Amino acid sequence: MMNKSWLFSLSRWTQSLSKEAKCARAPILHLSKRSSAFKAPTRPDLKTTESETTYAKGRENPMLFCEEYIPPQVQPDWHRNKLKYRLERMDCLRRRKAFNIPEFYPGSIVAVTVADKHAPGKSIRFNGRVLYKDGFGLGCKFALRNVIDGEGIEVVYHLYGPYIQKMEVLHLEKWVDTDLRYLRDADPSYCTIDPDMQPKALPPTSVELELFRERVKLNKSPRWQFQYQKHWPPPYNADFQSHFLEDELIESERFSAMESWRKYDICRHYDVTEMKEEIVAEMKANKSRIEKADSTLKQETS
Amino acid sequence: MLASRQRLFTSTTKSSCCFCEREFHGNKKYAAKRHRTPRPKNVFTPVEPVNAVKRGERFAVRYTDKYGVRSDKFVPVHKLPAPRWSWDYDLTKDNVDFLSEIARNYSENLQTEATNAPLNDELWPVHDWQKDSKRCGAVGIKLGVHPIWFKDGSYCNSTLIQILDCNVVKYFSKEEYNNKTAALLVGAKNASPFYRNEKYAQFCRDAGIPMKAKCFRFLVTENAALKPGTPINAMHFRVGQYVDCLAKSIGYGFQGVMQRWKMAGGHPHAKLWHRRIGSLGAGGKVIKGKKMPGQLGGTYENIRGLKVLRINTKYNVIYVKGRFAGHINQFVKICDTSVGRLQPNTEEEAKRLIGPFPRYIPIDSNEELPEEIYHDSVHRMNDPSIILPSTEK
Repeated sequence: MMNKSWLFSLSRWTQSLSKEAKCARAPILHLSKRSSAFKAPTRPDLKTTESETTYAKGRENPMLFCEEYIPPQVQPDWHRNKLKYRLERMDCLRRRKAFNIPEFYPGSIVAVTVADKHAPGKSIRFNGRVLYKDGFGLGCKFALRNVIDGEGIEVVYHLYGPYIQKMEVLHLEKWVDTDLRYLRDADPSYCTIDPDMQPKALPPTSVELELFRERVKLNKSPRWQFQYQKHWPPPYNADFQSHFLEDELIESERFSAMESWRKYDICRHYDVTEMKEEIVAEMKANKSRIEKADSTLKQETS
Repeated sequence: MLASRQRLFTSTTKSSCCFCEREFHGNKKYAAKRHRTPRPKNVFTPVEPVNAVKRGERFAVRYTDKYGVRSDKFVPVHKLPAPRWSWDYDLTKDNVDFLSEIARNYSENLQTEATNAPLNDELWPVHDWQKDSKRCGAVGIKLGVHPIWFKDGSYCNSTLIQILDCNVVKYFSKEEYNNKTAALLVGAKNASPFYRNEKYAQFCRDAGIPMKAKCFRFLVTENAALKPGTPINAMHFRVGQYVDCLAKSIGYGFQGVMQRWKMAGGHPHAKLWHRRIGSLGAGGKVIKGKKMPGQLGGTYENIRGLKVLRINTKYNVIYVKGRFAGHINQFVKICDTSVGRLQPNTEEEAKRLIGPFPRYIPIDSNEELPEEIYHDSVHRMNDPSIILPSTEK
């Protein structure tokens, strides 16, 4: 999986070639088929098969399990429909088969090229740090933030949106927090990313990722967008404590403690361990389901 | 007359008024005392005041006597013991299981018969489409909402509707219904037969189908009549056509003016005015149609002109562009649009704007349908990502 995203994009590019280019390739293929004596040796496939790849703890095979496949917690239980979840996951798998969506987390740096009808070349590239990744199934969205000429820019994309032509992970990083929206109030150096940044080497999937445990400096100004000292749970990677005196912090803990009872509320706990096994078993079955459904589609079109 | 009055005086259950023979629920010890008062013998029966007649006081049930005193034995309606009777009240658990198993097998057999048999023995004649003819719809279940992308790169939210065990229950001809239009009862989702009405059970028995949890009525023209028992599936609709969806919105009960009409309310530091309505009008009258607190939600809401983008024939799911009211697993009434500009005028338009008339009839019953049917503008998820054609030359 190392640094191979450009290779996948190349294979996608060949598929999306115009018809003339495909026809130019076609006669060579026919010749090799007709000559019975000569058999072309099979090329060694650079792609590692799924059985060979091993995933370390905390990293999953996206074809089988992903964070987006977990449905939101809805109560009462008869207000949720399992068939809808399955149909949506099948569509997610269809997209993942057609397009390689790389693994990334909030905090890592990602570059995205998108089809845009207003752009001069009908496509546009943007890179930035991922602030959050949220939502279920096809509705999953992620936000990129970059500071260009001293101006912060945020763009939100659908993770499964087919308008994404190319996704590149420039630097894979995993922070303790999953919501990094406090970077808006932090020092802009964390989000200033060179638009021509070269991708760093990605760690293989068998290696466990180390969490980013450093503290981010927040701005001096007390007018933040959100009062981090008064809410629960407090962010881990943001160092807001240095802005306050001890007495002020004790007082602000009172506010955060008003919400901290939630961790003892059993009704709010969302246990996913059983659900995860069900989803993995379902996604294995979904593979054959999709093949069956799409085979009928092709017959109709051809 | 006199005899009746005598009876009135003697019986303590009737009220003291001689002109009204209504029931008296008040305190009886006071009633007896009152009747002892001497009355003149020859008196005309007093005329009932007009307003009392208007109010229907003669037939009204009073829970208090004249003086507003209630008896000690009085029990309000909401505190009366509820009727605890049910069909399995005096049955053992084994008997209940046995009966429910019979019912389950019966309904399963009926379901298989309904999908195959009843249309083959006696087919009703299929008429052609004519102008101003109206087709039957379907009853479905709202599954949820998720985005769907188009080939030009834009997206919209689409609602998923599943058509589950949908069958025609009854057909009312023009004379039977109201001498104006014919009507069709269509039901969805098989239900337990033990908790249903006897008359409704007879409808289902005649149609040869298991009982349905929810029924909707469709007004149709007579050339679109369907035989009771005909199954309706997702192929009843066509990709690219427009539908109306009627569903019950989420009920919030009796709500204040801020939540119901999004009024501003008072400032939190104000003294007396929080979350309240402002001026009601002037001149001692309230303006008509003034927005006030009341029931919010829980009403049937109709959304017109939703486009069908995609159909899943295996699970009978319809993907509709846009959203409508109601929570998940809510019953939905789907029918062809009533939007004037989308009404078909010619037969060619009818093939595009409404589904197959009067119902979907497969040409070859053995032929397998494609599982997914997409509209031309919709991007399929198994296709490669979108590349827009460049206009520059």
